Amino acid sequence: MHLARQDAFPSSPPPVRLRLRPIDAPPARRTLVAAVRSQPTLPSLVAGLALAIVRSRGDEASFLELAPEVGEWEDALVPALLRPTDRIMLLDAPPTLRALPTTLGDIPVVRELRAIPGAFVQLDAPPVPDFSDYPVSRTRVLPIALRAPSGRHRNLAETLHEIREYARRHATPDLVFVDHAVNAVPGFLGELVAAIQTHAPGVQWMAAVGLDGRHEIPTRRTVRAAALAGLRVLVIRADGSPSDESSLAELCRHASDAGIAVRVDRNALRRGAGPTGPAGGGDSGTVFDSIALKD
Amino acid sequence: MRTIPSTMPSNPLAQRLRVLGPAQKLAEAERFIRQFHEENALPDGDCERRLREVRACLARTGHYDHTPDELAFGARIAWRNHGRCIGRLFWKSLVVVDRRNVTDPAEIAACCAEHLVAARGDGRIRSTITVFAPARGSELPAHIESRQLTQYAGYLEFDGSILGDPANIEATRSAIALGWRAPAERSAFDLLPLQICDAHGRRHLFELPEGTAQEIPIVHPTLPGLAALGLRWYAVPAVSSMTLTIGGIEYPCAPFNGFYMASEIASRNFIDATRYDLLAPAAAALGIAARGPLWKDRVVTELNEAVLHSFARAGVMILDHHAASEQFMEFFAKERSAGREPNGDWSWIVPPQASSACPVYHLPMQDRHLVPNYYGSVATDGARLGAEQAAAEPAHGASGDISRCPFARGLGLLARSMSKSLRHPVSLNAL
Repeated sequence: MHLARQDAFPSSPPPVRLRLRPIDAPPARRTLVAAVRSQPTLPSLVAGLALAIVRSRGDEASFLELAPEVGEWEDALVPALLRPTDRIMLLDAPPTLRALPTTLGDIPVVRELRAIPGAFVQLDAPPVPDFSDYPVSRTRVLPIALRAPSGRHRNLAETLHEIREYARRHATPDLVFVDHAVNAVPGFLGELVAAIQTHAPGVQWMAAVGLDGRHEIPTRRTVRAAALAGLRVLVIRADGSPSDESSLAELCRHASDAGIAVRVDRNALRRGAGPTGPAGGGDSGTVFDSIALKD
Repeated sequence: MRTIPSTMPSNPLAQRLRVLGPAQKLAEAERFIRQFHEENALPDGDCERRLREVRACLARTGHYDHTPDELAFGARIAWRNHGRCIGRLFWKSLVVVDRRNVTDPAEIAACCAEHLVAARGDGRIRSTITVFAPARGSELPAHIESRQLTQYAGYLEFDGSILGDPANIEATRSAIALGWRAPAERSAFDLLPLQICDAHGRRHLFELPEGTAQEIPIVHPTLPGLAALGLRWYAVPAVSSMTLTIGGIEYPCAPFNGFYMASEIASRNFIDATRYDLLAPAAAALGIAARGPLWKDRVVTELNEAVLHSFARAGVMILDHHAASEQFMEFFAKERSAGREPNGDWSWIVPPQASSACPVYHLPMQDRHLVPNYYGSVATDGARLGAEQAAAEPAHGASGDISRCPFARGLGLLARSMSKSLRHPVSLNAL
């Protein structure tokens, strides 16, 4: 009857075994690339985390937090991440190996890395954040990320799933879309506007749009529909170029006509925003600054 | 603004539970003990003796244990007080299973399986609650994370389509991450395993034994096309994620069940856009043209008919919304005749089907969020629990006065003296 325990790694044969020499990176990288290529049945296999685990010197940190440390493994990660299924396999080193020092001079240390059973993580489908520690009952506002852990824009189905969960758990709080602009992916804003009230009736929300050529500028019709779908505050990210100015004026007028409050962030792109939004999620604070929290 | 250190471990259960100060806990405890003795017509001396015990325990440890009788009474009163339930006519017959000594997740799962089988019985479903260990200060017990003991998986596919119950997508992902293997051929009605979080925060999965959850295929008595949809639903709705609060003590692991009202399955679970969203497929299967303003009403009515027929054919108890409404009216009248003002949350009590044809639609009601009660989270439905009762009691130690208004205080004293002489409580409404 007992199926699984979170804290126990089963001793059954692992699906993938890699033998790495962590002191000697190039052979390890070759091993990794070979392993990726040798597993055509797996959606994607990323062993870069393994090195990060070794580097963590036995620290019991969350595996997901190790992802940014992959650094030098990028060459191997890129082909894996570009695969269409966007899944990642987490690897674990046995505790005894994790406790070893990272350098052992010239002694070749072979470390075995095992895939954690059931640890396929869909990078574009992270768990819905648990905001039970967040004062939702007082602020009534929850942030919702549009950037997946893979770095890409989340798809509409995943976004709506998260909105549904928030509506159920927190009795439809108001939402702030953070990081990516809602118009970064063609068609996303229109589909979001059409569906959001079905999945969270009565929800009000705040979002950012980008104005440069890489974004789909919302039309008057879309802005009006967004207002009806609960959009209350629109942050417009502009870089102040002449071509932006006309779009900015037009969008401000549309938003104003629709009854949406507008905040213009002229420095967003100058601060290092990428094609889909500000770099490093640094704009989240800016977005939050302009929320009128309901007490 | 309060900042939360990033290293602080998150404990969702702790955030969900009510946090009572010592005085507040003592006030709730005293109120409950008095209510227990008054409603059960127990001697005043026993009440005072028990109050002394409770006060001493609370002063010493910040906690006290309910006797089995108090627990059973509290669970029933919590049901009677819960404003969102339409089926409270039978609150006195709630079967209370005391499992406060069970803390091991595997044993909890086994008790839950027993609960489901015992509650279903021969089809005449008995409203039952199994109460596990309470929270003791910051020491939290094992609890069930699944929203219901039986629930169907939901799979969000890569193309954005959903197979199964969308309400359970997150629970399904969590179960898969913990090692649950979905059936090789996934369906819209795959039963999820039970997810239990132990006292140390570790999660455990348990598959309910074969036959524990009876499932009923949904067919229509006269329109055979519906069977092609392959709909089915489980017999016993057992809510497992709500906390029972009695006299200042929180029981976060207390799964309970009632029986279904057909519209819960037919009008909500099958039809809601955020659930199975079967309006159009059901219309096609039932041969109802999706034209005109009322085709949706016809589909929902036929689905209700199908659910009622299917449960009746399987010999499993179920109510239609008209009968449930009549029962609630009877409950309402009985409560008032007993001198109590019944609680009701209109938006939850009024059925989603043929609302104004049900008498509850026309009934003014108010939810005063009395304790004992059941709640999901202190951030939502538990936010106002006990507030009105606390406000009505001016200060600790002066509980004899029900109001600062001399007129109301006089009525209160009169009610108290009448209740003593009549051996049952009398409220101001009865005067």
